[in-house]
Amino acid sequence: MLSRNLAATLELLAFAYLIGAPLGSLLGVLAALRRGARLDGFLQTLGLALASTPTFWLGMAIFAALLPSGFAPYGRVSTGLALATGFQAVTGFYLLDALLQLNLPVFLDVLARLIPPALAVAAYPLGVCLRISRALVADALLEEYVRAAVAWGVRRRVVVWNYAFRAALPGLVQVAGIAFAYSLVDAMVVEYVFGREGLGRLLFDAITLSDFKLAIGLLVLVATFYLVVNTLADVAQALIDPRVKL
Amino acid sequence: MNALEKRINSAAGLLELTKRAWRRSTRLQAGALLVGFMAAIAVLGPYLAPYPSDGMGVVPQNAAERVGKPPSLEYPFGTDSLGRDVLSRVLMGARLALAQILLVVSLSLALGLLVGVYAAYYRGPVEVVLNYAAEVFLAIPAIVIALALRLVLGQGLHVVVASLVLSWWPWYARTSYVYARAVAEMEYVLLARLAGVPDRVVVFRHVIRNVLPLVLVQAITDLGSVLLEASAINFLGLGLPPDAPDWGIIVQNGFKYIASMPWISMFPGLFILATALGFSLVGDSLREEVDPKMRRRWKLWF
Repeated sequence: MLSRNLAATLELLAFAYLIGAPLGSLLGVLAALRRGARLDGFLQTLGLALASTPTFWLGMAIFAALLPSGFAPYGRVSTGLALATGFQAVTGFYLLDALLQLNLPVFLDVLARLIPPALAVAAYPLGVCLRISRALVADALLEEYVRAAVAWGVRRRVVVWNYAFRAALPGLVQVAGIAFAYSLVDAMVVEYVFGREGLGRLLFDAITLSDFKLAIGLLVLVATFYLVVNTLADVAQALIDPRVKL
Repeated sequence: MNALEKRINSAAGLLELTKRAWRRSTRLQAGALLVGFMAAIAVLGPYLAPYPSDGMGVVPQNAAERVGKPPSLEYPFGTDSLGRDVLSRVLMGARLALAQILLVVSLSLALGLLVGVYAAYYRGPVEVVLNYAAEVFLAIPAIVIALALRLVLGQGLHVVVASLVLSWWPWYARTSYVYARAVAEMEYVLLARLAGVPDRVVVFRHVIRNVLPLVLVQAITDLGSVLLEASAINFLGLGLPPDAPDWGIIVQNGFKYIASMPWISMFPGLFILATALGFSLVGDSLREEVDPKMRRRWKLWF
């Protein structure tokens, strides 16, 4: 039971980070290039606002905004559609399952139900990555080696991405790793809002049924998740940053 | 010890820093405005609220004719599914929100500061044990602790505060440990130790006094993050009882009626957002002022 729900939560979380982290980093670079300009101030405030938005409330707002369209992204997949097309959950990651079974209707249905909650979860990493990437890239752009590269006539695109952003990448990965662990809780709350199965559902069951064993199991699972994510972030750090050795 | 620490090693330095940042940063002014607004509501809430008893969660006498009214002049934020005025509930909530976050941050700051400073001061086994304890607590999010506490202790403010303090103190332990390592190397600390001043006095008079202002800047930003977590805990029903005028709980009250009465959840959520944003803006611009690297003269080389 735990593993299936864990897969559901991880799917949501990973998808949200695929949206939030790259977009945030990109906007951060944009802000750093316009340092001190109006766009910079706007983007930085936007980043703070996104990181300060209560996720459960954002999820409800997205849900409410979709209601007039007649499509309620409730649950993970339409049961009728899954039965009709013979969809089977193998790994628990429904997007992956549908893709492997070449089941296009279910894939689209899962995707349509995944995007709205993922957007709510993505707000936090977007804001955090924007701020960190802005700070780190802006710092890197002031370094001597950037000045030297420009003096050598290196193209602007190369200077920005291969020099400045490359220098900011290790710090960015580190912060994104911490944020990823933190977003687990956000994902759980958003799952509850969108009626998806997952760790959030388990959390809610533990409350309503006063199931102490479930609560302890959840606690151990979440703590393990934190440790695993932290370790992975350290490994990624060592791969990216030549100064860090495992 | 770098310029960063020298800049604000006293309360007067912190005040001076704030003044300088105030002149320079419109974002600090905007943040201070938001925080000031919320603080004013927290103080004046019960006098501003048009229906104070609704605010405290009492269902009004004429509930039947007031249920689910959309925002109007009479009820600016509308009324909820039990006929209570949402504006009154939100206004009464400011006091509770600020009380929760101030309690949580001050308690975890005190605990984390002591742990971090003692770990840096004594080194050796004390350092290992204290830092390890901090690592362990870093791995458990507040919501899961709140779940366990809720099942054991029942609902109440103590669950919110205890769970958040348990998950937040390690951050302060870590930050103050890093700063205290630098301060503990200073000559005035060494001289005090050599002169036979008791360790307790050295720690409080010399080390903590120099570490505190730096950690305080971090704590201001954290007030916003703590509010977000506290609201999530209350939203899930893990913390305060369902009638308490907490913003997270009011959002929860409107959860079932999101299609028919969206205003119940919308307004308290906006207040959470505005408060958290206010604290982040203030903390962020102060930190920018502390870190001279961020204020370097700026010119792109291309």
